[in-house]
Amino acid sequence: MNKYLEIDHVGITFPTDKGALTVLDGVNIKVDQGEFVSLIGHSGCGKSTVLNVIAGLLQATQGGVVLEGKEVDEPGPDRAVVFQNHSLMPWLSVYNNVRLAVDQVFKKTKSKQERHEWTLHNLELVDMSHALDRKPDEISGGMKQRVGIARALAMEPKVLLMD
Amino acid sequence: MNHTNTLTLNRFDVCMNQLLSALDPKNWAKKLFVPIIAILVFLMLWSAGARQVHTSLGVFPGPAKVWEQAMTLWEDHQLEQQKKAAFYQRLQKRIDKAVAAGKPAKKIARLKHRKYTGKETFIDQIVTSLITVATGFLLASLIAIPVGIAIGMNNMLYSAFNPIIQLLKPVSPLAWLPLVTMVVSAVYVSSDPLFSKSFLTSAFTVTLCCLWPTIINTGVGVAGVNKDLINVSRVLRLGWLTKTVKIVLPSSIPMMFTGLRLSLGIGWMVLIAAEMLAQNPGLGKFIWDEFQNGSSNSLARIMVAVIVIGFIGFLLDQGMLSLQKMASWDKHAILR
Repeated sequence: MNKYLEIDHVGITFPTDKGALTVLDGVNIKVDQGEFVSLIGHSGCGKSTVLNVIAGLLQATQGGVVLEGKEVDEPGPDRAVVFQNHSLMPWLSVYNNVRLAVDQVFKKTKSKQERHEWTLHNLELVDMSHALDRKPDEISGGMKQRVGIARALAMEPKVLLMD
Repeated sequence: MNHTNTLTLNRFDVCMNQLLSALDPKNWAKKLFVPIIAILVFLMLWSAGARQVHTSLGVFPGPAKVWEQAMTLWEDHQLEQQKKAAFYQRLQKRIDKAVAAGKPAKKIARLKHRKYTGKETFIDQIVTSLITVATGFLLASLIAIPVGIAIGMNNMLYSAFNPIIQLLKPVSPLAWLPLVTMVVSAVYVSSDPLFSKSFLTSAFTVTLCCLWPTIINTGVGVAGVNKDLINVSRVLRLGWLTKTVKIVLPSSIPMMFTGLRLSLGIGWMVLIAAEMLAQNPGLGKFIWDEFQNGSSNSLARIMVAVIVIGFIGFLLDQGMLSLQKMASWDKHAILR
């Protein structure tokens, strides 16, 4: 039976000055719909690399990633990423950071009012409704990460990748 | 939701606190004491040193003489303004008399077009210099910002433009001036010119010299957008234009303003040199004329111009700094 998300014999090799560096080799992961998978390993073993390959931010040199029967090699909002470095736009408020994602993903399917309410809803889920107008440099690291999660959730992704 | 109102109140609170702290006499004493002492020491050294220097135009002017000439220049300006007002009053009386006497419309129109032909005062020259540098700087910014964005976003364009930028960047305005003068003379041929040739020559020389910091800094700012933010734009599949407008440009505004600030500083310096040689009626020409004049007051008057030039340069820089602080989202950068 085909799984929802399949990482099939993925390997990635980087060309460096000192020769080829193989970071991943023969990685196989099969994930069901609704399944929650945790990758645990020591620092530097390649967890973020696997995540970036699934997200499409990195191209595997061997093997590939298949989502719902289709190969994916490009990033997209169907595989939302919560970045390790939260990656919030420093010049936008908390509200606008999430609204940016919502506007991009739902510009054709939701009205302005619906997008506004959807943004507020997702920020409510992560308990950030009290800080909607704050800029990223005015909130704590934990709060920034929560905004990142709200942004990822707001994209209604098929796969949620949390680094 | 009242979060907007709360935030406005907080910002107001912060501004009031800053204002009150600035007006507090205790802070005054601390912040101004050392600079004032330093300035007084400088004035004393200047005064003592000046007396030792004997030039062909007399003793080098000390602070007292410079102050005296500054007052003279200000009084000359006031006098000239009064003469100008009187002239226009008399002219108006003539126009009214002509209208009452029923003179032909053409003659009245000619009277109305009469202009005061008095001498340009020091203040007029300051205004001319400011207008010229503003023109040159704005023109440079209009060219430099798009080019900077282009070379920051596209490696091929960067490789194409970079050698030319590096080659033209170190060229002195005095080297550009003859070329600009000849081109303006050849191209700007009009029987009723809106701008004088000297104005255009000075403005274009300023443009040529102050393009470079803005181009380079904008390029660096655009190329150096945080990779994480670019990754966000990739996950969101933002179109090229959306990505540029919503992510690349806001991210590079702080560097852009650094470039603009440097450019304005260079532009102001270049302007004085350009005016001197192009004879644009501004501060540069004032200094040149005083030097050619060679009176016993010349050196003091030139010193007045030097101090005014320095002060205006300082004000321009502080102006740009304020704009930079307003536009910069990077709260961790120390902007001085």
